Amino acid sequence: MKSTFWLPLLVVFTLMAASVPFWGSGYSINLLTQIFLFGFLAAAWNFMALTGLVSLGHAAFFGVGGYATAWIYLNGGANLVVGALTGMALAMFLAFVVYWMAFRSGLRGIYFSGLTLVLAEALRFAAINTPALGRSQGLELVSLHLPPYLLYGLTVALLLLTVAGTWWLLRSPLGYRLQAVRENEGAAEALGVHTFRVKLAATLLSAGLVAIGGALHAVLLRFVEPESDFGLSLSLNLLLGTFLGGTGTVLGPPIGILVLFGLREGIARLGELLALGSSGIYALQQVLYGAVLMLVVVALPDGLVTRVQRWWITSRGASAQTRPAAASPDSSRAAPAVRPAPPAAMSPQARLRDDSPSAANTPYLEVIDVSRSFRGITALTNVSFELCRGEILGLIGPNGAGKTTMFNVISGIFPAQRGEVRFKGERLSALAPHQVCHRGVARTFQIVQPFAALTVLENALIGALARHARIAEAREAALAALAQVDLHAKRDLPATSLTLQDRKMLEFARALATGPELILLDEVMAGLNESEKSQIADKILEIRDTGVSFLLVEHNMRAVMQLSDRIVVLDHGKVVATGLPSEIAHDPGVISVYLGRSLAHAPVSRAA
Amino acid sequence: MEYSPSVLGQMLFTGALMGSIYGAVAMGFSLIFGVAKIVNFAHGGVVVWVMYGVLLAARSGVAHPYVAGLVAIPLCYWIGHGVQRTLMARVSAMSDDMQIIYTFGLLLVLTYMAQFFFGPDVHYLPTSGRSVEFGGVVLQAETIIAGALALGSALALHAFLSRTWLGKAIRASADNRRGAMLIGLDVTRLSRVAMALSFALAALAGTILITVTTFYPLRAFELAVLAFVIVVLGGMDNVFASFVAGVLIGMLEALGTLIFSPSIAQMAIYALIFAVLLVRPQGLLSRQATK
Repeated sequence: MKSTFWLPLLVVFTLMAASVPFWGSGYSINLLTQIFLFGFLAAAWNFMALTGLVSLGHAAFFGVGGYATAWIYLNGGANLVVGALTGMALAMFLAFVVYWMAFRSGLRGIYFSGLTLVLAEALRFAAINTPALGRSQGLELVSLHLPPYLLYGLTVALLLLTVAGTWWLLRSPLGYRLQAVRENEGAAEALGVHTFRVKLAATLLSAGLVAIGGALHAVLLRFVEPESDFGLSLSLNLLLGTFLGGTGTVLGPPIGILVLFGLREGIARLGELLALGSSGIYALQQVLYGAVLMLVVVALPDGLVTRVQRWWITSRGASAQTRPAAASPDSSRAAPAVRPAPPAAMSPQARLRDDSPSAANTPYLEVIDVSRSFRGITALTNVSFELCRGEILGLIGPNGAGKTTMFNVISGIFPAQRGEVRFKGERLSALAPHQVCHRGVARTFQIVQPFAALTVLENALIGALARHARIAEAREAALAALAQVDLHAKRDLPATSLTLQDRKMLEFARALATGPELILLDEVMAGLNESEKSQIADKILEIRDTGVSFLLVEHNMRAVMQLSDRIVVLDHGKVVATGLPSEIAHDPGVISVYLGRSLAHAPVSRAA
Repeated sequence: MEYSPSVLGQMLFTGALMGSIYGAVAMGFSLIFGVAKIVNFAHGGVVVWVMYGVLLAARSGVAHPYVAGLVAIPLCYWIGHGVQRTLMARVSAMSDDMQIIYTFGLLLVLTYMAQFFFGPDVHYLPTSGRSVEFGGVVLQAETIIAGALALGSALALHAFLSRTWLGKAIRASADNRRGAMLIGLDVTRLSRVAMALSFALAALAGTILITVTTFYPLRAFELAVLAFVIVVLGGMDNVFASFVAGVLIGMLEALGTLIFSPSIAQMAIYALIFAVLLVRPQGLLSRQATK
């Protein structure tokens, strides 16, 4: 177990840190305080990086924390704690407003990073312009007397807490959801993850902690100043430390910072030898930082810690086979729960369905008059159909007929512009994808989208978290879902190591793990050979017998005809026919719009 | 406070001329973003290095700034070509985030190399003292020449991109990289040409900037952010719109400086860009619809 490995390390670190005041010089205490402070800051930045977003503007929150502390100290009765907490609250409020808007408008990549960069720069100029904040001189915390080692102790404690917090977070439901969001936001959303809330939670936490760091920094240096508090260098240093150590890892950010400070001190010694002067030394340090940044991107994109972990695992050879390198921290704990659950446990409302589709005639999924267009191009026009409980309904049509759009409307990715979708009488059309998932409608994607950095089990776990609040319960459900699609034995492999067929099965398992009553399968057979197709078809029938209904988009006619109870044919966004497979196969209208002559000879074994 | 029309006119003209220089900086940034999909924050560092080169040449009496610029432009063209072959070769394949980090690393290296060699001091070139007056507006000769050169380069670049075969090929690969490859365009080579042109534009911008403003190593950061800001305003992949957006920013800056103060003007610009990013990330001047 990993925790037994961490514990001694933690104790040794704490003891060593506690002993430094007894033998260290003032200089070394000061340096260590800075290293711990920046280690803490990088770990806080890392919370944000867990979402997969890169912030170039964390200096904004750092500066707010520092300035609030300094201003309250000077104007409000010298209370540092109140100042720091106010700074934290302000920073979190700012982060809430900014990120709320940014996530609403779906900013990603350069646009998101640019937004954060511009935020910090705007605040820097705001500080330069505000007389109460000392303009470009900043504020000085004069006559500040603190007990010795107070700051040192505080930074040690904060660093330990944040590292432990990261460790804990990565094993919590929120941590798994964050990793899912980082790997693939769309797939996470479809599996019931409220991605907006998850991202906001991580970024708020990050902003608040960075503000505390800013407050400590202000107290440590006894001044705040626009350039050093809101400037780009600070944001870049945090980014560099985190990337160097390893984004998303527990120990990476502080280790990255440690290496950076090592380099910094090395350059300082060298500079003293060469009599470069402080400005020259500083410039050289920044040049080196830049070079390290470039090197990390090219040679070490996962960071030092991840690299060392991987090396450690491969060097231990065969015994490590079950513990894949890129796996996130939890796969070891998955091992004990090797107990394939009986398939019947899957669905609480499981019941063997009557074989004739008309028997379960209650309206289940209702698509009523749905229309949807994209910038004037009509994708769906007044589409209506029903799916009965326990039914397998095939949705077919030529390319561009609107099948995938229909799926996206049902699963909440696009709202319907007219008409509505109801499931068990409840409106789905106004809901977000994760809400649709929570109502019992799961989906798979045409192009498989596994969470690449996670194991097979963790992939299914993300789905299971949709209906289980606790990790242990979710793991059970995930294992049961994997057992249903015969992936149980591969549960600890990285998802990327699977074959295409297994990836399709994993999509299936993830959807099953959410505990659905209806599954939308988008071309689940595409790219598979005949025997793989029939295995999937058998799975679909098997799972249907546990009470789950299916809506099937499929290009493979043979499979659709065999599997479906009824078929809906779309062409140019309109329903052109609805009926039993045998009827559809012989419908002259259908044949003329789409199927061609050959279908008349297709086997229609399940048709009445 | 009262603003006489001539003061206002003065500020707007100077702002527009300064803005066209910003536009020249931003065009290089935009060009390489469009074609090679590289978000090149190091662009600001290149501009600042050109400024130091021109400064050294002018101070030592080797060459007049404009003459030095004439040498710098082709030189930078070939340096840009080489950089795209070596330092940037693998960058277009990286994710957005990795690119930003990489080019910021390069920006740090360039900026602080300049600070290491030339010190953090502020430099400027003495002006000729000549000026032109019309309708109560007095403009420095250097500013007019700078604006004219920037405008000229924007028009030339626009003509190049819309009229010549090579320019059209560059735009095609900017529009759709894979499609361009499929119809047989050598996208790698086009990226090199684009980076070379981007460097040449940086050389031009550096040369004309040094004749009108002061500078120091950290100016590289400001120029990088400025270029980004302008390009966001103009639309990330529209080269000529970047120039227009540059002029707008310059005028906005001048107005803000006149009414409030230089740093409030900066803040207002950042606030504007902040809003643009949130409301219309594809750019104010872009005709492209939202995704």
